[in-house]
Amino acid sequence: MHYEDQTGGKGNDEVMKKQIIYEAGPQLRNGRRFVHEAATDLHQSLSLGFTLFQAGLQTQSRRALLGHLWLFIPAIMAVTAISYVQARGIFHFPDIGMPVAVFVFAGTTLWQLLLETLNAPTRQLIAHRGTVTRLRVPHEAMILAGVYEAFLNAAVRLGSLLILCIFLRVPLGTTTLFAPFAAVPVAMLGLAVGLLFAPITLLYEDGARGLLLVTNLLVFAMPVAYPITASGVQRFNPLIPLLDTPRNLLVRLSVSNGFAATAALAAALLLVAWFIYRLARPHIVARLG
Amino acid sequence: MTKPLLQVDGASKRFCPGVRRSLLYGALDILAEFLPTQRLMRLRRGEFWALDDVSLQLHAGEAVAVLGSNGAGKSTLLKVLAGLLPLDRGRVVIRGRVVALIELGAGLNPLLTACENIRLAAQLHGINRKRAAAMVPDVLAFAGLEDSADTVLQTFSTGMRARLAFGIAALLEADVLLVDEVLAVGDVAFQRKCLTYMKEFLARGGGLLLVSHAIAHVHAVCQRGILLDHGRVTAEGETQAIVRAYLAETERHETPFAPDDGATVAILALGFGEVAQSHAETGSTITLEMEIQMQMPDVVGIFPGFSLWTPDGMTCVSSVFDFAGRQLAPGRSTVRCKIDRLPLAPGPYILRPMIADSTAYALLPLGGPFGGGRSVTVNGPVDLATNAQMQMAQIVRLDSQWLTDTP
Repeated sequence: MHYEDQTGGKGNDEVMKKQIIYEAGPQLRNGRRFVHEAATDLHQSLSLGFTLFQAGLQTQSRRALLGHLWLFIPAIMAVTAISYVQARGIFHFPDIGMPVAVFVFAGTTLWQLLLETLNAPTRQLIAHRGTVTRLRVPHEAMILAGVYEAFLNAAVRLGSLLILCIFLRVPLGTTTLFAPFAAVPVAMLGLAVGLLFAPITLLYEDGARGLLLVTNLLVFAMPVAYPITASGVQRFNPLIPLLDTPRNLLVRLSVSNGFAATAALAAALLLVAWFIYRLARPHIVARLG
Repeated sequence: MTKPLLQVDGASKRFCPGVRRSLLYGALDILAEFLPTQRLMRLRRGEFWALDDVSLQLHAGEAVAVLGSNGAGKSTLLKVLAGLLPLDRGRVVIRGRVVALIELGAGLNPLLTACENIRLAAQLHGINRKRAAAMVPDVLAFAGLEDSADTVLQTFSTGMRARLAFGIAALLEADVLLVDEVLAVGDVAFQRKCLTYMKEFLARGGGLLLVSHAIAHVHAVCQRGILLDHGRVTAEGETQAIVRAYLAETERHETPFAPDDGATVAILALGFGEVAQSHAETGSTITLEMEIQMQMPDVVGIFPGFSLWTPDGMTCVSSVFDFAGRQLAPGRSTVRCKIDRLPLAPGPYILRPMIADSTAYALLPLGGPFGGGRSVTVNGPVDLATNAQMQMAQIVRLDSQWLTDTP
């Protein structure tokens, strides 16, 4: 639909001016231009997204009596609840190589990361609706701001989780250091699915409701609160290696089978989803405004 | 001749007013992106052309006004030029940085302070972090908001927000500025500042596209204009001519002074001279005339009068009343008034009849085809001086005598 390029000025003192062209027609007619533009927007979005993320934190703390404390409150609540459940012996767990509280807490942290990245595109773009329909800004910045926020929340929960591990005398080791990095593919998968559905969820409210319903049901088929073995249909569940690996690394257990392949798949899906979103973007803006 | 800063060729954009259908078309448009072949764009059910084959050029140092009644496609045009709406046909080429003021306050967060908002908004416009931070004091100075730098935007008045938003836009160093009806919210001093800024911006070689219903702003800044009607460019040319065409169009569309047919006094004819002409020469002796129809006998007597207004109907240039009073018999009668050396500058005006009752001096509601007045034109000599006066939208010509200094 459009592209930007650098063209030299004609006169001596005329500076190099950016030339912008908007044209009717499908964007994929010029694939190279499309990719170049995507890269430029992403580059700009890295820092702009961070500014938006900071601004978001700033406004959240201004509107809340407890300010930045809200980052920790959900984690503290979760620790208390899980400790209570474990103390009362409500669940009977097989041997999983770590205390149940740690297992569940780590599972919920990862699941929350997945949900927050999954919802980041729709939530952020709806929140910045006034901006995206009136200014030509890279949407990646808004989406990244949401991703940064999801990572911050995950980091806070991880901190609480580590305190819990020390409290329960769970032996930690060098593998613990790799656990946060092993959680990145979960976020990539969440963001990829979120971006794939964003054109639908941004246009229709049904989309967002449906997605919420599905994720609420899906949590029972995932190794979040209890372990699930990758057999039968579950062999194709990408979240089993993606959720199990960072959790296992935390307490010095091994990397799950197929983790690397699934992580690569998640990254590839993210790339595809991003390009699909970019194709849909001008039409989303047109119908949102 | 250098290349224009902005070139629009045959821009067209479809629009669907129904929400459900519009969303469906949006979804279909998204699917169509996956078939990278050029298709013929036709209107689908329930759609119309919000922009229909619009072409336009904007050169460095030039300001072009976009006029048209509500829903004519002005904002759609600006949104297309700002890269927000994808074109269905045509092509737009912009050389340089575009800053669009589609709506003041876009990208501003009510819970951030003025300083934080300036940094954020500048970055949203593609300025890097460092330069955005450096811009803050200049923007605050331009907007005159130094005292409110650390105040949260939520507590700002509408005018203060507008000043901040315009201040940010002013310091973004745009090459092309797209301004959509945003000056009206600031106070008079700020409006003046904005107009001065726009003139400086043009002098520096910027290009400005101004959408405004404030005719005074249009006259003050723009040399050329286009008139949009139902997405089409219906007129193009000098500001004065376009403003006239626009005002003529609004008259046709709305008839803002609809005569009250139930009135006891009706104006049947109104104009210059006996045949109620709509043209007069500046500086000549003219006769104003109106034909009145009275329904009932007039007992107390009336003061007939005429008033002349600027073409937007907002400013009264002058009025004349016959305070000697008259008693009109039921039926038709004609009232005439002579004016020597008509002091109006050439241009369009509105001539309105007025009748006041002689006891309370209250204006009576008038009926009839000319009860609300009519458009008239004052003609002048075709020369450079007259042309200059018309460009300034001058209203009155004073008789003057130039004195020479005696040593």
